[in-house]
Amino acid sequence: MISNWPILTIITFLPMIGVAFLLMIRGDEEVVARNARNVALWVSGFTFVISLALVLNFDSQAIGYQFEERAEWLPGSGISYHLGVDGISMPFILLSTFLSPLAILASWKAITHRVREYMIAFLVLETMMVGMFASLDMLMFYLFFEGVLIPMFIIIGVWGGKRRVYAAFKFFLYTLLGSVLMLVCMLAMYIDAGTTDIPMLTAHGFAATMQTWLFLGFLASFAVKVPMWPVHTWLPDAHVEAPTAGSMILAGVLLKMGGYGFIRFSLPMFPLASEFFAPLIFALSIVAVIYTSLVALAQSDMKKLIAYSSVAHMGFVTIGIFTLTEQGVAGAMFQMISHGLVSAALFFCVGVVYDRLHTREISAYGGVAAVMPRYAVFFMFMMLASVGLPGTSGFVGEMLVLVGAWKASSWVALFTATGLVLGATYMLWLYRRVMFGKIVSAEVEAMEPIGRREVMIFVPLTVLVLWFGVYPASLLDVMAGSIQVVLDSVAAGGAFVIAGR
Amino acid sequence: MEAVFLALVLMLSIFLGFELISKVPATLHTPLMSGANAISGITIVGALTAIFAATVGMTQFDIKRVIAYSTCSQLGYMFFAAGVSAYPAAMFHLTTHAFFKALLFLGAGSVIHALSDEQDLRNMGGIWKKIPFTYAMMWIGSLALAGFPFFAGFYSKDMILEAAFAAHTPVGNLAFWLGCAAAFLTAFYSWRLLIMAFHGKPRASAEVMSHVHESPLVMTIPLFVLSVGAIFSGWLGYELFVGHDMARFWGDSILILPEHTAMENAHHVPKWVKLLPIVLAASGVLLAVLCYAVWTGIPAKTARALSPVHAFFFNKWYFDELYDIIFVRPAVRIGAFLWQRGDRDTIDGFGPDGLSGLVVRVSAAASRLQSGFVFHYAFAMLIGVVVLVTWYYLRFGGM
Repeated sequence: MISNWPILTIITFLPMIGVAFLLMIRGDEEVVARNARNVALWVSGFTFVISLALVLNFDSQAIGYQFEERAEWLPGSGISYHLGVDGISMPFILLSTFLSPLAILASWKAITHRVREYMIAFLVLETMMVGMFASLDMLMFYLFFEGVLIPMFIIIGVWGGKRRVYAAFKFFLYTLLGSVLMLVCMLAMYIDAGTTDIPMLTAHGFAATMQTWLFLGFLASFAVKVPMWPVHTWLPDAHVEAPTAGSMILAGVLLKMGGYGFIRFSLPMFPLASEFFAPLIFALSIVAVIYTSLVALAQSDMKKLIAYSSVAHMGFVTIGIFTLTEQGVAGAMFQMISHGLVSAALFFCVGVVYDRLHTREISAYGGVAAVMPRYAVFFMFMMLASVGLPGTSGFVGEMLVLVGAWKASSWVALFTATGLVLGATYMLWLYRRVMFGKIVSAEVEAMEPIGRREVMIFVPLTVLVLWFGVYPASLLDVMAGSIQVVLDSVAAGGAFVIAGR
Repeated sequence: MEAVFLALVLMLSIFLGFELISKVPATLHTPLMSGANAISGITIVGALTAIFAATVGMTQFDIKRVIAYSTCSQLGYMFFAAGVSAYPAAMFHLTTHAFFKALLFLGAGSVIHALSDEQDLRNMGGIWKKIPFTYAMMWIGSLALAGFPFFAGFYSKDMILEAAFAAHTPVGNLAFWLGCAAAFLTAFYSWRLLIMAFHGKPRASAEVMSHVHESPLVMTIPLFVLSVGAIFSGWLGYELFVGHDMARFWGDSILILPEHTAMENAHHVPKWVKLLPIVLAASGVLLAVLCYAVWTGIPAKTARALSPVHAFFFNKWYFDELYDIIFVRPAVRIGAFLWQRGDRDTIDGFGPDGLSGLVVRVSAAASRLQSGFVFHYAFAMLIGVVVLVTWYYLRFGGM
């Protein structure tokens, strides 16, 4: 019976078996490259298939963590090897295992040198991502959380564009600075509670003043990852310089680590501080939504435009989380999953034309719809999903966040909603400039329509975006119970500390 | 093909948008905008829209653009009808308009199709004998639009104008007179379109003219169906929408506050109010015939003589340019400012780039200390010893 298997361990470390295979490949460069691509694709595809077992066996009625695994790691220290998922982490694991094979497929032709090392980096990245979402021990979480940095740093720094080294170091320094503060907080929590077990820490109940400092420490790390204004400037550079697949994973999964951290750590463990700092988060997020939307409007580089739009969309997420309402948190979760799919697809859209014309300048394009009609359809669908058209997943997330924001404060909802208008403006304008109008050059005219491999990447993304847009309950039902648990512990935690004073 | 799609989308979106505007005002009571101010605003916007779009429509040359601005103008009527609380009249016009405007759009599609995808009125003309069915359909649509007696628009548009008059408010009067002026222009641009498209000498190339043909059944049957609606929908719907069966027909779905009596009084307006729109429509037709069929030099001369006015109308009152200056350019400029001055200079300048620059400078300065000369190090050591000893004596000297 599959439920007796250590399924989370398998999903987490299966890509590492692929890495072992890749290390063993011998032969001339051509053969190594071909085999490396196939091994990486098959291993990540297989990992995805296995991760489907999580969906099939997940009990959305059950309270608490499922598929739990626990093993002694550092005996007597309160630190253990502890894995498990609930309705909040399970969708993210699926998102990671789903996007990984697509990202590998997306780099099939774009990456031509050091293919084996590239594929190793991606498989390691997958292990780190899945491990991070599956960890129920804070120390393990931290290891995976930081471990994600290493392969991504290498992917940007080695296979990136012209300013890749600058971008890679900026990315690394930003995230590391935040993480160091988080590590200090984690040490303080360990000493206070005597354990790094996440369920036990959630039940621990930290003192009010301590919560404030811990919240700020974690905020430093999560805010960089989300990214929140004003610590977002690594993102446009990292995206612009990263290879297409790197951008897909970066926007698709890595940006969600911050939001996940808020929901897993900040809300249930520091409920008082979360409530206290919610206005600060609102202010920063509203600035992010409006500021970065306007900046996106001014971009002449397609990838940078979509990168800035990601910051704006993640502003919605942080607003939703800190409304501390059921709709707000559910909307934030939904928005994260939706943005994971849509932004990955949009970055792939940019990659498709970049592979053909080797420029990301919007002004170099025009009339692409006439030469690449099928691509135009996919791009338009994803563009509309990004704008939040009803019937796509983007709508559900934004709608729920706005409902939650309205409950928290109608002003927050008002300012947040301006982001919708600006979002539609820059995305539609981008689409018009790139896809419509006259064909601007002979190079554009000679662009090849998308092939089977590219369609194979677009179709699953499109299907899911449509599915979640038309039938959002399929995702909301999975998350609802766990979100309620988080919100209950926010309410109860607040009451507990106040009573203890 | 796109004409069909356009007509469908247009009618649907008009309907949805209108549903909203006809439901909201009665319940609108926010501090910012009291109900009374809100409906005055709607009336004024509606009246201005009616006249604005009509003036633009009479100067355009793209056949579909003329009809599109005509739609905009008719929406203005519906808006000011809602503004004077004549919601049933507005909904009535919405319904009849759906028939004759769809008929005009599809008819225009048939013309465009016949002329090998030509949309410019200046390149049309002289084809009415070759496509008589389309020609007849366009006549029916235009008669209904201009509100000639017993066609659909006659019932619904007159109802709106009478309601505006019967409101007996300053904004109601404004709407009435602007609406009458727009009715004159409606007839004018409709017959301008008919004459330019179908009459006179052919202005298309011989090549195109040799291909002119009546559209296939798949296009003409829908035209016929719509023409039935354009003729009869006003006569059939009158009693239900705005006449004796009104209360039964609408039930609870429309709320008119008791103090808003325009709908009630619309049935008891002076005779001249009922006649004026018809007279104006007829004179609009006459003027179009004179300008475009009899003395064909007049339009060009008038446009030249009144060139600022003509330019103003032809460029859609410069709304696009205005929005460009008010919204588009500032948004892009603010975006560029935030990006360059905010992200690059401030956040990056003081943040990562500034810090890494600082580290480089400090370490450069620190590395200069390592001179490699023994006496430098010995001297530094000596200073250190002196400082330590002094501190020791000052701190513990008293013991």
